[in-house]
Amino acid sequence: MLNVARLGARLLALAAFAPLLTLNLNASPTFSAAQVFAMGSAQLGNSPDSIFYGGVRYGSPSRTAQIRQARSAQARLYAIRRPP
Amino acid sequence: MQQTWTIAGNVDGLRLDPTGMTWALQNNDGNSTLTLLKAGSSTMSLLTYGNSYTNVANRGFDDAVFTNGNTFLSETNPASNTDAIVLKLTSGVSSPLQVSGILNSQFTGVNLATGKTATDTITDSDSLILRPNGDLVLTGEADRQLVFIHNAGAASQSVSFLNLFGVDGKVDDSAFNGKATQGYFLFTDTKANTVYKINVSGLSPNMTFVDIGHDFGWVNMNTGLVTPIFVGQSPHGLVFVPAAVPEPGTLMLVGGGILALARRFWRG
Repeated sequence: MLNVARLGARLLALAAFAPLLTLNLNASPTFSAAQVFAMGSAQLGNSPDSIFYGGVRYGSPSRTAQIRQARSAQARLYAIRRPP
Repeated sequence: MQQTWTIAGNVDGLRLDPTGMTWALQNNDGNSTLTLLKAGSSTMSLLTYGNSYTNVANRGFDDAVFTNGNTFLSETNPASNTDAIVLKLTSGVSSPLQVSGILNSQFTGVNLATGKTATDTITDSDSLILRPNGDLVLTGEADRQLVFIHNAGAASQSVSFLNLFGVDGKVDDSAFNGKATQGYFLFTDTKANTVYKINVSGLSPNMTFVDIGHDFGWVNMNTGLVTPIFVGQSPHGLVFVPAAVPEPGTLMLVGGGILALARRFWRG
């Protein structure tokens, strides 16, 4: 048979974990400030346009290259390593 | 920088097909061609379209989606309501590429903001993107709309659409987080000559994001209201990269450990 004090301690411990259980239910998106990933003609040519993440699979991203494109009479495509 | 390629002509759509080949869709405003290339190789293949492509002034292929063994393309600048704006590739990936329309400029669909079925017309078809639920998403750039095609190309195909408001300007790429709750966005700000990265956490499932006008923002799918996240000069390309999720085996091990600890704790 459980000791009342011990039971009380366990209920208190469970209550302490309750915020963790409900935390995700109340979540709202948090966006970081925009960081410059790449810029300037040395990295992008001019006027970067389309971009994709190579090999992306939802829930399981692979570590492949990204490519972006600068729109012009002669388009240049760039493969760039996945950012950290 | 890993590698660069140079392609003659104007390239818009840029996609990776299931075989690992990159599709660079050229000349979306007439005389379209397709270049295939592969990361790690300098070899490029130029493909041409066959007679099913109505190659008139200003019309061409802008973007591509690969899903369930099918390839779909968006085509720009319809001249009439009966011009196709989304097409399915009906040939193999070799010249001449042949296509067949699955959605015309004017169509009947459900307006997601009102819940009512209505006739809608897209006059400025642009980006085509795969939503995590399998729908194709077409951008009506100057139309300021997103068009969702469910069961694309099948007899059961259905369409819905959403008018965007709250931010001025044309719409470009859209992105979707699916079930992912965290990750990052990469987007190009064309006029700023910059690619930005924004980390995000705490996402609700199935959110929608767009580049529109000067902004990158998220879309209320019940109303079409766009809430800005970033204001730049002209965000165009956009991609969401979900954070890595632990493998199911890892989750089971962690869960088992927690259960064992809880059991031990409860028994005292």
